[in-house]
Amino acid sequence: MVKYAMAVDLDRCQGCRGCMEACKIENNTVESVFWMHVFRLESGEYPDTKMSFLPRPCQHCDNAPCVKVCPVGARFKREDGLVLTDADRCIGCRYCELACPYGVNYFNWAKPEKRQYLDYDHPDVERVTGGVIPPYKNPDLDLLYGEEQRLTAGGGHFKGVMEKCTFCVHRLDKGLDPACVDTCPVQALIFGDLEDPSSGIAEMINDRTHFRLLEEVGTEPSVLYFGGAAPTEDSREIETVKARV
Amino acid sequence: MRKGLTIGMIIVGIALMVISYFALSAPWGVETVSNSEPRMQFAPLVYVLGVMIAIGSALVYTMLPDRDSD
Amino acid sequence: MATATHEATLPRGVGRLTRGWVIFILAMVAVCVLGWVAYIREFSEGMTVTGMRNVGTMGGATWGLYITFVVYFVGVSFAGITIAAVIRLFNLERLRPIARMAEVMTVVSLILGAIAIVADLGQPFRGIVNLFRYARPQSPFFGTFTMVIAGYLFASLVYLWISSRRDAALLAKQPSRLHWIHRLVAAGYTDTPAERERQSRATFWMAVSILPMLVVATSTLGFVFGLQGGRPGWYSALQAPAFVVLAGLSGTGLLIVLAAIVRKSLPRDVGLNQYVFGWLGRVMMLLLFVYVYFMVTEVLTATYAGVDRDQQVTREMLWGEYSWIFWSAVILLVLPLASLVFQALRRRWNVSWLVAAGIAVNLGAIGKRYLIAVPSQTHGQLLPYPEGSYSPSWVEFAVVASLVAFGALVIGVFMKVLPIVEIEDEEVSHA
Repeated sequence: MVKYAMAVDLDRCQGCRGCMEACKIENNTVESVFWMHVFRLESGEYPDTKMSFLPRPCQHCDNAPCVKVCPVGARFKREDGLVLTDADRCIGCRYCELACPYGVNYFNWAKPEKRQYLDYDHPDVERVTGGVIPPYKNPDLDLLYGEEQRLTAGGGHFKGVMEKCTFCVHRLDKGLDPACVDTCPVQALIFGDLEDPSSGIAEMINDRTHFRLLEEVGTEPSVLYFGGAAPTEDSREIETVKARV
Repeated sequence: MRKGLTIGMIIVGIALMVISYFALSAPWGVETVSNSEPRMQFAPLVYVLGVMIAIGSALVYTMLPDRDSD
Repeated sequence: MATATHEATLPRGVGRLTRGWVIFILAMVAVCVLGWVAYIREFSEGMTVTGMRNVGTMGGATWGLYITFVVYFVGVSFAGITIAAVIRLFNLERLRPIARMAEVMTVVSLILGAIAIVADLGQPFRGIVNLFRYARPQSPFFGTFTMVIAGYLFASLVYLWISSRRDAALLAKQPSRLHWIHRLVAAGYTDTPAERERQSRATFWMAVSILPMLVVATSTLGFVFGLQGGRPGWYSALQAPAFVVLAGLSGTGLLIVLAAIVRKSLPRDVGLNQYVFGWLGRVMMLLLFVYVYFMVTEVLTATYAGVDRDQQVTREMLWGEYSWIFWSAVILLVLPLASLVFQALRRRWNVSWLVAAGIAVNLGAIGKRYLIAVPSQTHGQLLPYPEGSYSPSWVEFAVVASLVAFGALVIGVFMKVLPIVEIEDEEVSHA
């Protein structure tokens, strides 16, 4: 039985946020929605400040609080470890967003076409962008996935439903790695099957120690952090993400 | 007959509640896809109907005419 | 008008439409229309028209004024039926005049709570269908949706109907424009001893079984917040009991206001006297003592020791962004307590002071409900997200105002259709 997990090597992460970009392009997420987010943190007092970077995808927890509280079973956990959202069933109550201690959930407040980064209907856009219009729309996102055949790749981002990182379920279906993992220039993100002893992630677990975020809350996350250190109470963002629309 | 129907409704109502909660609705747990699916769709509707039948027994008790006394 | 002379003889002002009443109803309708306009905007544009935003990177609060009022309305409804049930179970005859308005208050505020939940859903129609189709018992919402909305509302309606039948039958004896409603509600009631015995027994057992259902139902609302381990400020065993106490408190306060309004609007003395107001005042005073005790316990515990994140939320509430709401709520709860203690010691209850206390307590309860919901979303995040902010938009205010107006409208109409105070035996011959 496959059991997916992601390893994040904090010793390698350089905070370039290429993974955030790749996720946006792959999953067509709208403005200020960051399924993958990288914290750029500092701690300590000048001149003894330290900088650190913390990629934060959805943790796909084994004891997921978001799954527990979903009133209609739109948020569910698959046997292979992925925690997914069925966009057809979600009623938009946003309880999962509040139950999640990691803050990875995003609610679609408005119609998706009103939340893109660019007004793609503007007459000048075609000229300025050299004809790369309409915006790239990943057709895989609108399909049903898994044995359960549910609309879980997030396609549509239609208003009134929840969404979050899916570990690129549509890519996994084709045997590819999630977009963030694929893009990282320094291979700080590794993805694989915990049950497979020959996978990269299983080797990392054997060789090095790791920690998980917010272990004390008991969510049993599937994202393992190697090297570096967990954010402390002193950690704060270097600059505030301007992400409110 | 009225008393019988009242008690019957209470029993049926509670039975529907218990059955739909424990056997027909989505099972507790977060491990698999089946935790998000009710074993029978509209099981919560059955639960709510059970609640209403049990409470509705009070209406039957007060309003149904007694064939023997009245 | 020919019908006026007939309706003037119906007791409790039933059927008598005064000018003041008509103006009141029209004003409420106008507010409701405003709410509809606002909600249609929300439904078509999406919830972006509210002030709510995502928690975390977006720095907002995702549950705001709507959820505050869901909890407030369900809380208010708790007190109504509980008081009515207690009056029934212990045969507190001198409190009978408030029994029916307490039941009506419960039914109306539950309906408002249900509407407010639906207004807060991103997919309201789908929500109504999917809840009946797929609702999971593990989610605290299951209890809210099934026990509170379906069970508790239905039980209160049935209780209201059963206990109104006699009065409806009495009114149905007279010809009037409302004759058909009275016959419908009476549903064949004949005032024989056997029928009275049946009704008495039915209401007794309903009262007995409703009380535990209520405590469970109101507690599940507390659990919605209290079981979330990942949200500092919410995760607490005290949420459920504090919910129940504040519910009783705000409901009792509102009942005092309602009783005072009814007393003013009815021409004759219907028993809403010192005894009744004194009883309500004492109940509110006791509940206030308990609630203030809870608040002190919570603040002491949170400030004495606690994880940094919990303390962040508390700090924000005590001296930060939410302090004005917190301290206003404290004043709105403590001042009434002082006034009630004073009146209790003097054994003389002043209706105007009680009404002021009732209103203050309700405003304080709304503030407290808001403080339960919002600060834990904008502050105290377990991961180093920045602080957030939330302020409700006009859409949220309009929808909430229209719900309150709708409630007032329904109660106002009810008062003209059925007696808001039960009819005594002596009045039968008068009518």
